[in-house]
Amino acid sequence: MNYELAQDLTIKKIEETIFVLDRKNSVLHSFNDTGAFLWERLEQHVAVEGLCQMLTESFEVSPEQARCDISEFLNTLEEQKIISLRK
Amino acid sequence: MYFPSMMICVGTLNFDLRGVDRLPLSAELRAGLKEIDNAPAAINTYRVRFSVKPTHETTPLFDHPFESGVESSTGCELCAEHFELSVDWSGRSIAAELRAPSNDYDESFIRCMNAILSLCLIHHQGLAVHAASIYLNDHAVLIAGRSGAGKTTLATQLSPPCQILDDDFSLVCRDGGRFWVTGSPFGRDGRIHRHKTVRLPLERILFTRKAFHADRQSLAFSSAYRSLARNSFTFPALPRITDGLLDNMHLLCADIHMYILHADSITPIVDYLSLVFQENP
Repeated sequence: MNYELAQDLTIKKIEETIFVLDRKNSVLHSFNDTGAFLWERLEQHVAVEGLCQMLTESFEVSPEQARCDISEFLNTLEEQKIISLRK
Repeated sequence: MYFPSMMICVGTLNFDLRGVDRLPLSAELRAGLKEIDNAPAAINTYRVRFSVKPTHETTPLFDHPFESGVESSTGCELCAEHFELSVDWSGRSIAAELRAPSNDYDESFIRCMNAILSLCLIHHQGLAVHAASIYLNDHAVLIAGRSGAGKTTLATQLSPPCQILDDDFSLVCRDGGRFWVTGSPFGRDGRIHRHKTVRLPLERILFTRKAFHADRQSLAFSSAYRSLARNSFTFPALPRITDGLLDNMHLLCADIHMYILHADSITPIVDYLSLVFQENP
């Protein structure tokens, strides 16, 4: 399962925080270190299964916890319309 | 009255306005324009050529001031309810076509000039902020907050001893490695405010929030950045300009102390600001 980023985004990484400006809706999103980690992988078109594995390895969380966190993160981004499922 | 070309100076920007004589503006606005500082303060001069577009019925598509826009590496075109702009950054020239949905060209002219100021500021490491600006002893403070947060009330309460640069729309520009603030001479009341072209060093930015308690917190970088974004004027359709705006916000957040003030009444904020100005006599 792959996601793609919306078109009208301006992305800035400042220190460890990633800021994503949704130009279409004039909304600025920011991600903490875990969110920034996942966002960067989404930019690299990593599939959800890959995200789980990477998060488990990098942040010492259980696979179940990783899947739960990723699902919540992706749902939020989808609700905000800054990502969508690739068709 | 005849104005073949008129120079006005706002912050670090100069504007050589042409074609103003042919615009159907009120005598009061024309007289006000002549009052704006016209001594060039910097080398950033833009030539703005005005014309009038025939009025027609328009329905705003969005709350955002711009309905559409396109840009290239050398310029951009923007379409709004009251005007259209065509900007050539390399030649520093701007073509502005005014239209007047409410048959009031003064309003269109003022909206257009504020949009031009916002755009040009972004191009020169500055930004326009939805904030009141006040000053005392040559130190300026921005008071940002959503509509209804009490910016104007606060600015009015503090004046005197402070003076108000602008009660709603403040222009922040970077020059000589520091940030300066000035008010827009083009007021929402449809009048020209000559005194607003005074330029003062920016001391700090305060974001006010209504709450049931009173406290003050220094904002961490990411919170300051987000708060500033909420109070900055953006041009969503245009990636390059938005990119420049975010870069300028980064510079500002790195340089200027920003605080959030929670308050249940105006008194704690007035007390805090009095302290700020005492620290910078």
